[in-house]
Amino acid sequence: MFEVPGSGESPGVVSSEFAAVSVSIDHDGNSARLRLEDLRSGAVRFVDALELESIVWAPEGWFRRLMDPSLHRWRDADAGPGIEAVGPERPGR
Amino acid sequence: MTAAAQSVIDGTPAPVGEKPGAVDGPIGHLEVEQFLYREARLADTHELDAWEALWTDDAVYHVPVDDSWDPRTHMSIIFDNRGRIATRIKQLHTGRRHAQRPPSRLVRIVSNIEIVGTEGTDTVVSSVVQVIESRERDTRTWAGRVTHKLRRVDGGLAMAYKKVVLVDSDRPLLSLSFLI
Amino acid sequence: MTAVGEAPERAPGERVRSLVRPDRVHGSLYTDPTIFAQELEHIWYTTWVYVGHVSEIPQPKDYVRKSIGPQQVIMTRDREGEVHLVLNRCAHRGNLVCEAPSGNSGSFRCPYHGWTFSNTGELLGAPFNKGYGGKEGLKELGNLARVPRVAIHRGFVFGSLAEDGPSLAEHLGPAADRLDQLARLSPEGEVELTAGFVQHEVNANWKMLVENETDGYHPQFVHSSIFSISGSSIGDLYSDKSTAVTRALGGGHSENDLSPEFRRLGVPMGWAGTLESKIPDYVASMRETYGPQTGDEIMINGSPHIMIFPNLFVAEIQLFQIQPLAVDRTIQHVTAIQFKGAPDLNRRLVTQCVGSVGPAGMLLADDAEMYERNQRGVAQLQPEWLDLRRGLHRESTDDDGFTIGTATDEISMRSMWKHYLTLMAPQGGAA
Repeated sequence: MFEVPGSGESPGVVSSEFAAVSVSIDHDGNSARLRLEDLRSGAVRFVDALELESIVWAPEGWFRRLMDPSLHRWRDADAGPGIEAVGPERPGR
Repeated sequence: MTAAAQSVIDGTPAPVGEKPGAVDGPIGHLEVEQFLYREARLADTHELDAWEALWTDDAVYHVPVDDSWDPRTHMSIIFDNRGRIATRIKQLHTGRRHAQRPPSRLVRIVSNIEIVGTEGTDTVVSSVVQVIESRERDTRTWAGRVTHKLRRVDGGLAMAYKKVVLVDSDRPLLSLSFLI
Repeated sequence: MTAVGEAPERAPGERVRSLVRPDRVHGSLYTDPTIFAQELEHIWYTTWVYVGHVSEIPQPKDYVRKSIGPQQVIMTRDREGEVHLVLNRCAHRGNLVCEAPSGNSGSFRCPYHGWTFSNTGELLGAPFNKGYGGKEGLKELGNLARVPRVAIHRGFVFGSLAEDGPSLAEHLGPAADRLDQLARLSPEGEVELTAGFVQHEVNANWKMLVENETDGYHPQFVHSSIFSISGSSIGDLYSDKSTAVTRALGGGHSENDLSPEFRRLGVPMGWAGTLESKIPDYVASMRETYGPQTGDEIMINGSPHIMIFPNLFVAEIQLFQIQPLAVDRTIQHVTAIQFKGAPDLNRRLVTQCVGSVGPAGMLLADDAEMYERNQRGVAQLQPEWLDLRRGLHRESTDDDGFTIGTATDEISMRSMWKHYLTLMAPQGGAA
């Protein structure tokens, strides 16, 4: 199992040949939040309950846009802000 | 081939033969090594009855496709109980097992022998095998990691379980008709 | 005389036509790499080819690597549940985008430069896209190639690499009924391929396998070792005393119809070599689903033994997918057929199947030996031809208009070659 800092519950790992992410619930904050760690890079993101609910309701097209590597991790340095550009109303450029 | 034809492969258990070198007490490394070498030699030289006599009555002989699959619900390359081991040997004895006519010329190297634990009365042994097989079609190498479960029977050793995980078990394999 | 391994130099269609006669075929059809290349083009990359089964990708975003001959195909299920076939080749530099044999992912990211595609093939993005003029520039870039035609019958997924051609229903013809017959052996009417595959390779031409699958002449010889030690009378199913028939179904498909023998036996599950008492839950479910009379009829008649041209062989309890890789190299992907709602039967089928098929199978290793000896044999110069005339003089037509012969007649081979010519050497045009 992977070491997870903080007081989070022991994680599960969601992985495929394309990515490996550990998933746990973190209790360090004033209410619980989801802790996601990209096991290939070590990058961590916390997602709160309302954000999670929004993901559940987000249109599929939102996920498809998110799959574009140029939107975030592999974005050209001079291409401006990345992840904020994700959204049906503001196509990334 | 018809499915009905396939029901014939579950034969009746054959008696376990005499075990040589009968001693009592815990199973030591040298005894394990001697047993594995003997098993390898009997398989290489097609001494079929002597090889068959190494098995216990509750034997399982398993060559998986994927070692994580449950062999009761998934495909294996070989998954024989004692009855089916007997059938396999009988088939070779007919002289009409075409895939072994003539028998493959074989030498195998058994190595990396480790006693890794016990399960009830069985001693669990891990080893590595490399087999060179020569037939008219070609000469090829088979290699795998082997688990034996050995048990003292009538003062000698017998194998209750043998599993061979080939390095290429889930890839396309040419016929494997000798005793691996 | 033409040296075997080298066909006479003529226009492709005319040349192939000269090699296939009603009662014999030329040895070079099994050994000539040029002919193999033409077969890929005119058969494997044209006609409907069996690719996989929907039960192998049960959930949305599931995928599994499959094949159409040497072509590597990814069979996927999209978010809405539709099945797609895409070729495993990145649109950028041709890298394989999928490495794992199966998985669950709505998109595939090429490990080489990170180009990312949806599981239906659409390019979703490439890293550092200013090098392509930004997101707009991506529209100029390619997608994963899709197998242009995908069709499903009873969960069996077929693909055709040709944009146009006969429909799957036209291709299957009466073979579709046999897949229905197979599915009816499930109390829930569905076949499942959940037991995983063994891959058995043979150094032989793919047509050696296709011809052998419904050849009722060989079992008494090739499989006599296993019959004799069991005192089995199975060999009698394939003898001149047998009421079983070999039937040409058109389209290159053929079957050994053993059901007359099973009906004569009149015992449910006799075809599977098991007894009602050993699988009581299955038998009860079948009678409950179909009613006692129909249920028993289904269980007596049994499962088909059919070769669906060019690559799907259903042999009662097991399924073979034939994949040619070279003129003398073929892989059989084989699994035990499983029936939805029949766990007790399914376990028996796995056990029986594992004993029989695959590299160490007590039946199939001997078939494979014959394929390989046959491949080496046809490389000899003389006689140039392989004989196909067994039972030619006693062919007849059954009530449904199909050509039939006895259990040991070479009807199926002749019908396969007849169809082969329509694909390789269509009349009125060069192939």
